[in-house]
Amino acid sequence: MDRLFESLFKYRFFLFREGELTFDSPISPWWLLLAPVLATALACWVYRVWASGSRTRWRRGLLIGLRVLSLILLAALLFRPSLRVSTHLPRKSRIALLIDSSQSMTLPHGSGQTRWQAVLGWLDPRAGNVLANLEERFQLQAFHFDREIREIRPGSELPPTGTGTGLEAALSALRKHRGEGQPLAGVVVLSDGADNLSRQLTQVLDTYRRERIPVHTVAVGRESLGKDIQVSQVAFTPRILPGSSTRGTVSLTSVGFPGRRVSVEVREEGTLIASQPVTLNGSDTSQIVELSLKPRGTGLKHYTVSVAPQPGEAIQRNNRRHLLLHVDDSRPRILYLEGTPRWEFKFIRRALQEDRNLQLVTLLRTSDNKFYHQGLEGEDKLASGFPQTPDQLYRYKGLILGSIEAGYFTPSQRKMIVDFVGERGGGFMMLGGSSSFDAGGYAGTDIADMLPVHLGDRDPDNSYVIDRLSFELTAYGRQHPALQLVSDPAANLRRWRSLPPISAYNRISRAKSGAAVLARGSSGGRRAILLAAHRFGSGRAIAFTSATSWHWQMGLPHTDRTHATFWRQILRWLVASSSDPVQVAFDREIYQDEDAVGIEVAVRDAFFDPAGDREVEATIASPGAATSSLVLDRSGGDYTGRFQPGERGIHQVSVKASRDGVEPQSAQAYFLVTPTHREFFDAEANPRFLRRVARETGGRHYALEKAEKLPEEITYADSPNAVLQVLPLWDMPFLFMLLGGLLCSEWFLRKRWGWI
Amino acid sequence: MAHPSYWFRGLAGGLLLAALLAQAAQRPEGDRTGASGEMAAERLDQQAKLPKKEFTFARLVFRGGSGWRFGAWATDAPKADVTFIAGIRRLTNLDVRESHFYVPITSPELFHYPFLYAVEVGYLELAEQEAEILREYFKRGGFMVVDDFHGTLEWSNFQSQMHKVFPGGRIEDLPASHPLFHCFFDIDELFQIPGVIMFYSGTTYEKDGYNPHFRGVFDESGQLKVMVNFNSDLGDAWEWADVPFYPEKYSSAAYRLGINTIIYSMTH
Repeated sequence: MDRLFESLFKYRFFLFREGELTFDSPISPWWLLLAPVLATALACWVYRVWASGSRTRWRRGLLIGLRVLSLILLAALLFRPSLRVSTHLPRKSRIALLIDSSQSMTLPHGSGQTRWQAVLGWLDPRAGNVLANLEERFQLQAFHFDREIREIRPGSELPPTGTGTGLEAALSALRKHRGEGQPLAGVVVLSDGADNLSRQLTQVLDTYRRERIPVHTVAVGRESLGKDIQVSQVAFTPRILPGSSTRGTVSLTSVGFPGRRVSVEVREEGTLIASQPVTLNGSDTSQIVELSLKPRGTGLKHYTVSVAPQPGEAIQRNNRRHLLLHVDDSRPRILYLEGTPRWEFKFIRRALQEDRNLQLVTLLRTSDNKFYHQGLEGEDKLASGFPQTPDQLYRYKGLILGSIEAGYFTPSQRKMIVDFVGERGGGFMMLGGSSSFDAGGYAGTDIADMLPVHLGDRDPDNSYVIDRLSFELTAYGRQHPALQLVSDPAANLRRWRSLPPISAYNRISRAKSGAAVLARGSSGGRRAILLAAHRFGSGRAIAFTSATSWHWQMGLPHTDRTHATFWRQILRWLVASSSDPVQVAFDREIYQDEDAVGIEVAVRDAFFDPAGDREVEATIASPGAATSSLVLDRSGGDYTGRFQPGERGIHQVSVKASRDGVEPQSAQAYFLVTPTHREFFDAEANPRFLRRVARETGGRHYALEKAEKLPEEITYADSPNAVLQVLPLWDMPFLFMLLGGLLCSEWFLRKRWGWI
Repeated sequence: MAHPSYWFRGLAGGLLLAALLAQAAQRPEGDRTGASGEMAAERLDQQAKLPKKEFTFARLVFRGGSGWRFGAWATDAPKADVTFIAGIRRLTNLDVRESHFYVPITSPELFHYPFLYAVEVGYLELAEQEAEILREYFKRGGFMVVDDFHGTLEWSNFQSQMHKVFPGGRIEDLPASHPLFHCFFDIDELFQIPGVIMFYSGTTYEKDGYNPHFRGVFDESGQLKVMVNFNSDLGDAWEWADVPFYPEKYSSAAYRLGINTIIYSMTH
């Protein structure tokens, strides 16, 4: 086909795609616009002479048209149409050949070859002349890359053993690589496209595009590996309080096992601690499996999440992932302000009385001017009531407002509460009551903006209802970690359904968009939202529109722990996302061999504003008990650093922040280094990724089997040291055939109609 | 010739005795059963129709007492309850049910009322099943205040009944620093709160209950479950608070202690 095209149009098709059509005539091509006018005038005049008399009008028109077209074509040829292309003069430009040498290249390419063998075969002079063609046209430098780039010298070993694929790092390093000879005029990447390290590739590609260095890509490997099951992702909150139930997700991708029943299993040192059966969809789309875990004890928990290998699987190493949970034996403080003595108050306090991981500080308004406080530790008496300044409030991670009217708070206190959630990241909960929600005059206040439910739908005087209502979990509530009384979902639902009804509630029927309604109540056709939650800024807000959950304690045998479990879990969830003044975070959850660990330390003052004036020390304790200190770069209140672990296992990062040696604050965090299996996750060939790389840099993309023309085609790619070449088109065979065809057609018709 | 003050005291005592007898005649119908009988249960149904509030001052209906002590649980009812409730409403912001309320031990409704008031517990007689109900009630989080019992014999009976409920529990004097005495009013001085009997006997004690004791019954885990006003009569102090010759000192002390006990029960 290509040859036919070339014989008709003189040049290969890609040149027409790459090149620019011009007229290589000293006369301006604008004059060509006159050609249709002159040609039409000439043709009409000729046919007026020839075709007077009884000739039919349409025949005359057709002949005039043919004549006009042939005259226009002739005129165009006189202007010397040409194709202008960028081209590289032989061996005047340097091209870098980048060969992917990561472990995924050991996976099958097809026809019994691995991807790596296929690439070597493509470059082998005995099998073809690709390499020779490239060397004939360019100064060629060859590299292989995985996590980093290495030049291939004669005699270099080329095993595909790289434990990661990072095209971003390879291209960045290549730009800085000052090769001998000409500047870089292009890059040819031979890869399966299974990149698993690049994070900001777009920026690098932008640089290549700006510098007019095209990256041409050659894809190797199959887009499907055949039958396979992969645990693609495990997402759990990394840090929880003891006694918390945490619910996370496991993403499974499976191919070739539709309808197969398997179990997602969580093990701790080989012991099964949780499992969730799932029916595979086998459609190569991600399948989310939700799983609840309730770690026992405190400290670090190292789990593996896996699906048992199935017969015929292409890769078994991607059936398992690691999970690290830090069961933090800390004791976050929650402030509970109650406007009037209530049984709910007593029973919430009782539920948390023996909870060593939640400290409840309560402030109870017993008469108009009297507060009774419990749980304080001396330093702040709060005798006058609710905190007046943010630093007093921000000591807490959670805030519960009971039945206390909006008017109790000053505008600045209300704003402080909103900032407590939105900026400090605290958890906020409003309980139902005769002075809560609409009944407490909250509609239209900034606190109402923060709630997960809409206020203002009810007359405040009629919005608080004393009546029995069953507490029914919604579909979302059944999955929520705070509402798991027992691990079995069906048994959990039965437990909730067996609870005594609540006896009072605030009538609220609309949740805000994005909020999750966890429980509703119903009785005799009436329905109301009882429990709803959502994220607000950096924190969380919960609306519990009743305050009669104490019936779950008094109305059930004392051995039933529903009430205490509910409150312990919902309050743990409330403060789960609430940060400490010093917060340590990592750029990944689990690291593999050779990964560098990115550490970010956020330091905040008592107002939770960034504290850039702290002296921050970070030390890292390795599993082998070696300790090293880490230098952190400062940017405002954020401090960052990178660390290259030298061994596998759990590493502890300890951070101390102080100002002139005073106000010391500290934090610990942990990361895990595991053996590398990254190359066997998402290891299918990804030609779309490679096509994107080529497109964004002005390069060309090929499948390996169709890449034999690459040396010739990339010769005409644009780059700074390319030269312009003008290819004449006027002598293109097709044009002469067209011209001849037009004239012959006209002659033939005239002959047939007897005009000559 | 007797001193006029003795005449006056005798006259006042006679009037009060007449008033007491008249009140005894007006005791609730159910009270006459002297126990947690059906009549009290019927009353419970009627009570349930009244407007519900956060707090109900629930008087415990129990078996016990004979002779004129028959139906001892109802002593001073309902005036003591109603007068005290008015005081709670005036002094606190507690949302309290305005009317008196009686609840038998064996009623399932018992578990809707985490606070109980029991009087004349010197005559309390608990069957094993009733003791079990009360044990369960306290384990779930219920609280009770007992009042108006005096002397060695009544204490002995109360102690043995409490032993049925809390086999491993203990009864101890509450120290003056106990949170119960400071959770609303700061009660720094504790003294005997006499019943109305002081007007015809001239003494603040009854029987051999010379010294007041403010004690607590603690369960096996050390939690205070029952506040014990032994050798004092808060009920009378509430009931006669509106009578000029009952000393304000005792009424005020009874109100303070009663309110503190309620606030304590709702916060611990």
